[in-house]
Amino acid sequence: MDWSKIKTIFILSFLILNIYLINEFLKIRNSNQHDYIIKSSLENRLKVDEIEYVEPPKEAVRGKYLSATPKVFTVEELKKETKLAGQKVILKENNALLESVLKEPIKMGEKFDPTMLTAFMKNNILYHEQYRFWSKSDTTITFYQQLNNKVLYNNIYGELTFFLNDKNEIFSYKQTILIDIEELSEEEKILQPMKALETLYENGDIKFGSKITNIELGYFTYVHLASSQVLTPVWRFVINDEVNLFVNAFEGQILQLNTEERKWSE
Amino acid sequence: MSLHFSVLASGSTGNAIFVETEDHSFLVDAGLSGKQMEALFAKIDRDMGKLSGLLVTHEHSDHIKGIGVLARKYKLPIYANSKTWTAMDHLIGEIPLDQKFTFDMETVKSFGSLDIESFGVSHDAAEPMFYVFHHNGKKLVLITDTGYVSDRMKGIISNAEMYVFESNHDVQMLRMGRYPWSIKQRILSDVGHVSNEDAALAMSEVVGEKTKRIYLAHLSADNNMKDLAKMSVTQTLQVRGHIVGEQFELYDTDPKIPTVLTAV
Repeated sequence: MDWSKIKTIFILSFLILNIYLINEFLKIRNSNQHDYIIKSSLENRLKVDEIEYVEPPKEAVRGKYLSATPKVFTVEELKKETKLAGQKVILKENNALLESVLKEPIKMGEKFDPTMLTAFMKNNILYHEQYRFWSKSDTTITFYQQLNNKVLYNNIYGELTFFLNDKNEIFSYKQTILIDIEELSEEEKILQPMKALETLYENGDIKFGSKITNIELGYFTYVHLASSQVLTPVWRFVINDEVNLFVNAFEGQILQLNTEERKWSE
Repeated sequence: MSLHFSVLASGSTGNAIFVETEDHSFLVDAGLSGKQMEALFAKIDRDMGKLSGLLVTHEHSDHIKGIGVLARKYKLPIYANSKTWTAMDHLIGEIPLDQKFTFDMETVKSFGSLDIESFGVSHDAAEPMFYVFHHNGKKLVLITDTGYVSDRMKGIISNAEMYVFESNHDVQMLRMGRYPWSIKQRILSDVGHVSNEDAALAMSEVVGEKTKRIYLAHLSADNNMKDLAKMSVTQTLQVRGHIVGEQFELYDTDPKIPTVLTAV
């Protein structure tokens, strides 16, 4: 074979190779553009899914775990409380749970508003200022304890629950409260609320057309110890004013707040 | 001079405990680099060249990372049981034969007035073991890296003046944490690490009238916190009738900061 034929074969071979490589390059570039579209900002993705949300609060960048101890009520201290005068009070669960039956039930209005209870709580409930309204059903009205305006969600030891009879009257309540609330020394970075929202969104927890009506930071029990508990900051997202979703603000995992687990053992 | 010790470093990033008497001194494990180990020695104002030897508990890297380097540089004898030697031989580089010594499990070696007793623990290593230091009738117990504390171990370690006791993780933190399930299973298993609560339960059975201090050691960086470990152990001990602060004190250990050199 002469030199000119060899040269031609080489030129053709490299030409084919170049065409192949250009083709591969274009394919990769196109796929990257596709990825770019997929990985567009969370805001755009929420917009595409018609998910609306309120402005997330601006919280501190770093935070701490809390430790807290359930208050053990004593019969002596309750006897001194004038607020409990019109009530029959008993203590349960190693005196951490106060149960009370009102001698005179309190009538609730047709259209419930938590402020209806303000005066009653002020005059009849111990540590009333430490609770924030959480929910109402046909038979109960639940408040959770709060600390510096942050709710201790779903905490069986920081709860005030009123019970309603069939005349829509509060006839009894049960109360627990956490005391000695202190910060642990370990400090961690708080997950930004939009990052927490992204976790929920990517987990499929926020449906098309949803409206996130509230975003706030609170605390959830992370560890139960023999006589106290450790609480971790959590982001709470309220969907359509109905569903509550929680994300651990340190670790980032979605929390399942199973109400079944919260019940007293009895 | 009495028996002194310092927990130089404790945790999954590296473990080392210094123990000395008037005429001998030992390093139990060297789980950090040679340079880091030298820096820790400088912090307690001790000379690594004066060590009598290196005692190895098991071949995991957080216990032997600096062993080879230090043994070669300072010509230190290394003591480990036969199975651990086999498992770590290729991990620590070449060690001259005259620096290799066998310290079998459940035996005692004497160095002057110091008796060192080895005992087996339950961990996923070749033949893991820890040590009890006996000196002038006093006892220092080192026990970490064990999935549980057996009755046999409890018999050996009971009523010591001081303990360096594993309090690795909080079970709830571990379960909720980001570790893969297989690792969680390993940590929780009988050959993993002992939790805060289980450590406290074991402590409640071994502490005695001589016990003065317990150092909580080998805390997981991801599944535990110093405050949490202390609270958990304190409360569990309290439930079992032991009052921390009255009977004995609890102390932290740290992955990077040595504890104060303390007399047993």
